[in-house]
Amino acid sequence: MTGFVVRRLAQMVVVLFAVSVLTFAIFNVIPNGDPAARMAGKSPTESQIEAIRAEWGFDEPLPVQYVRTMEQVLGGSAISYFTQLNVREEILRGLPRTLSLAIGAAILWMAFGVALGLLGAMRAGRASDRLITFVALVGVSLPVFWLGALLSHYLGFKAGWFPNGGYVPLTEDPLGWAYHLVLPCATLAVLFIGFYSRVLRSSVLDTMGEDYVRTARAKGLGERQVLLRHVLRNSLIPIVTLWGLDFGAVVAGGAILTEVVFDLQGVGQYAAESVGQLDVPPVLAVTLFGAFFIVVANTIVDIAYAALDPRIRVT
Amino acid sequence: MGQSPWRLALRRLRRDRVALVFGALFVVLVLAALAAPLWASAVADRAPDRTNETGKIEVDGRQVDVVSLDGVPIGPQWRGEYFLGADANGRDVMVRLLYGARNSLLIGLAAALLTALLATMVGLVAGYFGGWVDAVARSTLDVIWAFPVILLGVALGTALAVGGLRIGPLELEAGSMAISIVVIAVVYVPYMARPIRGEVLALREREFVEAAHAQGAGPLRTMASELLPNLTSTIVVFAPLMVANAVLLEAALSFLGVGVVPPDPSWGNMIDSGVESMITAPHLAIAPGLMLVLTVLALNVFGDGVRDAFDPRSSAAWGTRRL
Repeated sequence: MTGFVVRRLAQMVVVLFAVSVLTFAIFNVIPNGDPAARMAGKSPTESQIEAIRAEWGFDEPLPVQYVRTMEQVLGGSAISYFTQLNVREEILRGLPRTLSLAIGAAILWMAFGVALGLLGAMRAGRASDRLITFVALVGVSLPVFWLGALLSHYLGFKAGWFPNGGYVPLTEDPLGWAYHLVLPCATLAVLFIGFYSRVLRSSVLDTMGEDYVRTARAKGLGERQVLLRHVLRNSLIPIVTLWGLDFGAVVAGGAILTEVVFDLQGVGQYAAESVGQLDVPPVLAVTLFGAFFIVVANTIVDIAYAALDPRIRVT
Repeated sequence: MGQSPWRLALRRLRRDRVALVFGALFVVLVLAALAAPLWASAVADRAPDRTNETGKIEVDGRQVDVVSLDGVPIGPQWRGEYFLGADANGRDVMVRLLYGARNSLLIGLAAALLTALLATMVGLVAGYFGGWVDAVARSTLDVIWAFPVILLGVALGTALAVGGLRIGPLELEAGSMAISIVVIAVVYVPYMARPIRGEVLALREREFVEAAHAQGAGPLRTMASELLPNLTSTIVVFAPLMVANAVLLEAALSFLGVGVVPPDPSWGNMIDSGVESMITAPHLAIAPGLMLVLTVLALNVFGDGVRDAFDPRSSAAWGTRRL
């Protein structure tokens, strides 16, 4: 087991290293214009560009530039090429916003996904089950950015029930914080509710056929007890795994579109804006930050599985 | 009396009326996209990029500005000209919607096809050879997997949109749709390559592969004529869902400004510009969004039916994207 964990952790570091190299390469090897020329602004002189190039080290070989940029990113001293703001501070500023959104949405999608999935499984084959399946399909087919724009316009701007985008820190005004998050969280959760309800439904149906469920019924337990105590508990395992992976992915950039639509100014929106300007340090930092969440979530799941099922450790 | 599994699956699919209706809906949408020039010339009488900021049309016997003096475009007229109204430049929304459908569907279909090709190749080679080949393939997939999907798409899209890409004979011009196709295809390869690899791993140990080897079949022949036919149901099950995901990702990238470049229309960039004028002209965002939802829903419902018919235990499921 220790060997497996060590191997998995080493793999994690290698993947993160590759991600950083690849991100750096995307912005430096592929011709996309000289960052120095873009930074110098309109109609710069050749000597101005030279000066910027020397100052930021763009004239050094790429591997040297990579190592220096990575040192700055990991050490927290990286600075945006364009806004000249410290990247780590910007990420830390956006993090509570992104986390608030992700946690709120994750709670919503788990609760509603499980409720709908359970309902569908209990009524499997009937009209109400088919209706739930169809609603779930509509949910996963709705583009987040479109749904968000519509909700924010009709429920926010027109009806005035909700604020029109923006974010209020929890420490300043807890009620305002929750109030501002209702629509973004709901929007982000819709897709996952559809997906989770489907996964839970088939998981519940699978579990219902197990022997221990028959045993539970045979010893005279009520249907409600069987369902909640025996079936649901075991059906939740795949869902909880997914939950961890998806939460990592949402924090890692899955919330970009929602953040942009509701102007939450989280990490994702920061990344999207930096990417648009080909601003390498913030993009590198946010991508690594995101990849870190995804890889860690995957690694934890793998290790947990290996702990539960010794056969996995071999490969 | 043996019936091929394909025929059985097709018969099951034929009985799934809901799936068929939505499959037909997708075909109708594709036909509508193909008929875009017809609508533009015969019904609406305007080209997709023809602006009309100062023109007037007749509504209920009165002359009305297509775009009012304060810049508000006219809403849906529900007749040939300006069927779905105009946009801020006086362009016909219905015509742009149909031409946008061509771009969105072309990118979605081409990207899904490319994903399927790449994923099948990677999965076959990795699963068949194993060893270091498999290790390299798997870690490449892991790296792509580790990137946040949208972020990778936006990063590649932006980098390529400025400079284009030239690898040997392959040349992607800056701002071309081929860039979106390649970006979307690459992003989704791990989702499909992983299950295919797993399946090849299992198939490799089966007797018929051994038999092929005993008859002197080389790796290429074994992969092409022994393994590939056994992968078709997996590929078929994934296909509609991959198209749905690709269409959605294209819209998301265009929405963020790194997909189809305006003035060329795509549903994503139409929603993007429509959201800005949500207050005065909501039809600009609603119309392309509805088209997008209909297309993706049609593919998802149909794909769900295909999965039930071909391989109910498949790991392919709608909603596996992490946008």
